[in-house]
Amino acid sequence: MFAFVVRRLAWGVFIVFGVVTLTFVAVESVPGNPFSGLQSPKMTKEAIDRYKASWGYGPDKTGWDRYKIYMEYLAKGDLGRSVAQNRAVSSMLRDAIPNTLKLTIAALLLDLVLGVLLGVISALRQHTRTDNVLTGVSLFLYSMPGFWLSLMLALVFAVKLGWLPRYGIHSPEETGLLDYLQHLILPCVALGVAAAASTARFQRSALLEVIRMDYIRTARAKGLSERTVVWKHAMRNALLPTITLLGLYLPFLFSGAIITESIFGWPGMGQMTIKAITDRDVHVVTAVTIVGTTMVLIGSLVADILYAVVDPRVRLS
Amino acid sequence: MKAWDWLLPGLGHWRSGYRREARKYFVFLGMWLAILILRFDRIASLYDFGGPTESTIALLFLALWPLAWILAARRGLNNLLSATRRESLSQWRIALGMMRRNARCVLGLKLLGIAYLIAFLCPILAPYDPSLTPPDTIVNKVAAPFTTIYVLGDTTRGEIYCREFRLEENGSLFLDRAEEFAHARVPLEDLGEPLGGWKRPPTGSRDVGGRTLPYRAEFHLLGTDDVGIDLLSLLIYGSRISLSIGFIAMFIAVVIGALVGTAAGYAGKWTDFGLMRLTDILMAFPRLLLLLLIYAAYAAAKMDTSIFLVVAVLGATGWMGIARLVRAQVLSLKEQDFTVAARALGFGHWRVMLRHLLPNSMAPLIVDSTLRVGDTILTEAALSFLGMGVRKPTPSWGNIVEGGAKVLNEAWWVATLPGLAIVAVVVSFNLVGDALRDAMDPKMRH
Repeated sequence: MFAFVVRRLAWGVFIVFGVVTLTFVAVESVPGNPFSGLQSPKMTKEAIDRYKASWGYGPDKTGWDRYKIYMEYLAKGDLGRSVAQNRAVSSMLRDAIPNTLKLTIAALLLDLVLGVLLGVISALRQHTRTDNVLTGVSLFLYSMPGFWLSLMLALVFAVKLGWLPRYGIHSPEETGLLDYLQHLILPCVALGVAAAASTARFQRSALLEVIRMDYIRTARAKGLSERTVVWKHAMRNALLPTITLLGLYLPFLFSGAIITESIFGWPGMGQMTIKAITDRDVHVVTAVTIVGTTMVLIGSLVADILYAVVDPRVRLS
Repeated sequence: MKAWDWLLPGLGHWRSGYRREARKYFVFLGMWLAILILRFDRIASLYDFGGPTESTIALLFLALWPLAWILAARRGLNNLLSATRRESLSQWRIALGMMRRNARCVLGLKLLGIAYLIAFLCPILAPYDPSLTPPDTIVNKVAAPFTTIYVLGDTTRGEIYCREFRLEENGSLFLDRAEEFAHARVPLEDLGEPLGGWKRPPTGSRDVGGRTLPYRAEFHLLGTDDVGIDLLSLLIYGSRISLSIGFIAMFIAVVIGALVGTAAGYAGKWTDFGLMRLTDILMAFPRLLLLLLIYAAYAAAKMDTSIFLVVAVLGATGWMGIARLVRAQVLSLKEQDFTVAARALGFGHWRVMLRHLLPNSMAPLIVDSTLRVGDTILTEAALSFLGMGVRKPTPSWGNIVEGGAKVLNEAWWVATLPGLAIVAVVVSFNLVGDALRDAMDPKMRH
């Protein structure tokens, strides 16, 4: 177990290194200077020039030099500055990451609970009307653009019905938990429901496969109640693929969060990314890419370890 | 078989008792005739309305489409009537048969057929040209579905737009212009032939205060968007982007993925290691983030961010899953006897890869890519929604929703309807993909 975690971590470090390199190459491969024509009300032209020079954007520097400079800065934990906001990227990330994490984790929980529940219901009533309706609904949700679902939720529940707040993370005057949760509901549902739809599809076929096995028949023959058979015996095995899937979902959830955050004004990394792109803040975009990818990698590592914990047959090697 | 049987597709089927097939051809014929008759004016003046490329495509499609089903009907009828039926069925033929019997798949195919028909014929079907912003945006913007906008002629000012007009007691004409501050009153004697002439001829006239006022009624079935462009026309023109980009980007991704996967699986050793690690790294990126990064880099360099860039980037970021799939296939195929035999015959590596391994790993590849087309369409829509994919004035369903998001509070239809179009197309692709997967899976056959 320990050896596995160490090996996966080392592998993760390699991937992050690769991600950093590729991100750098992507920015560098574009002809011209990524800072050219950049103007900022908060930074003087001289300050921008100094900043550019310190990152190797000078006349006598090659791409390789810049790569070394970039890596040096990164090793020191310096992700650069936002030119538009005249603020260190790391301090912006410190504000944004917790918000994104809260939203993503809430969505993941919703995804897991709703997806597994609907998948199980649909599998246990295979080929009935309930199953058909659930499968149809999940196909629709699964084929829906995330941004559109977000907008429709905002339209119905915030604009038309006025039940839930449309923007932000807090009402101007309030700071309570209830207020926070009210703001969380819409973005969380927008993110989680679409993911839950594909989890349900997956869970359905996983349970259908398990429920045909001999040991389930044995359990039923022993006279156990259907509830025990399904939740204690079948689900033990049918949940396993879902857990791996959750690890694989993280990149999608993260991509979704970028859009959902910008629609609901959630001050996380997604909103930061969109703003950075409109402001042409190259270092902010690179930093978000690196941090986002690292978070995804950590997530898939956690999913792998979890997989081993719940399934004693899996020997991590 | 008489000459009539193949000149009028479906007639032979009908007379031979294949009523269902015959009905299919009659429906096609009916649609074709309906388009030809109802949109005759537009077809006659097509090049004045749309751009040269899309007009040519639409005309070619309109001419070749009936030819396609005349030939198909003829061949189909010959097959049905000929005494010798095919004995053996290929893998694809069995799959096709299964898909035909799958009601969901048929529904998906029908929806896709209609969607592509609309996309090909967009300059013929669209009621207005969506590239022209209306000169009067106050009256035109965010008109609700089923709104008629009247255009009157003013001899001193040119064309004037209003939602409704009526005679007031003081003898001037009151124009309802949708917003309180914008309402206008025009002296009756100013009305008539507009200054500079009608942009398009009037469609009707009404008797007001003893005079006959000609007007042009512009009907907006689905309303208008945030700058006043007819939403139905936008949706019809936008279908071109959504329906083509998904396919082309998918094709690029399949080509890259198949090449990388085959090379990695066949060559093994360090090539395999290197290519697969590259795949791993690229897969670790959340895709949207990768796309945004590339876009940001290009935008920062003030490079042209045209549709071609969107397609290329979508293709270049979508091949990783395919590469893994193909590699796994090739790894198992290359140990099989036919590959060994091909090598033993002295065939080169390229020939073995392209002629033996790749065709044999085609089935799962096609299933996988059909299921991914929907995903690519969604990604393109998301990019366009963020203003970083296809950008206005070229309409795409994603960027129409972007416009709708700005006016969400007052005009629900602008954001809602293009989203429904996306959902319909993606659901169709997924239905067809699911059916294809089931049909290609030998375990599902009974």
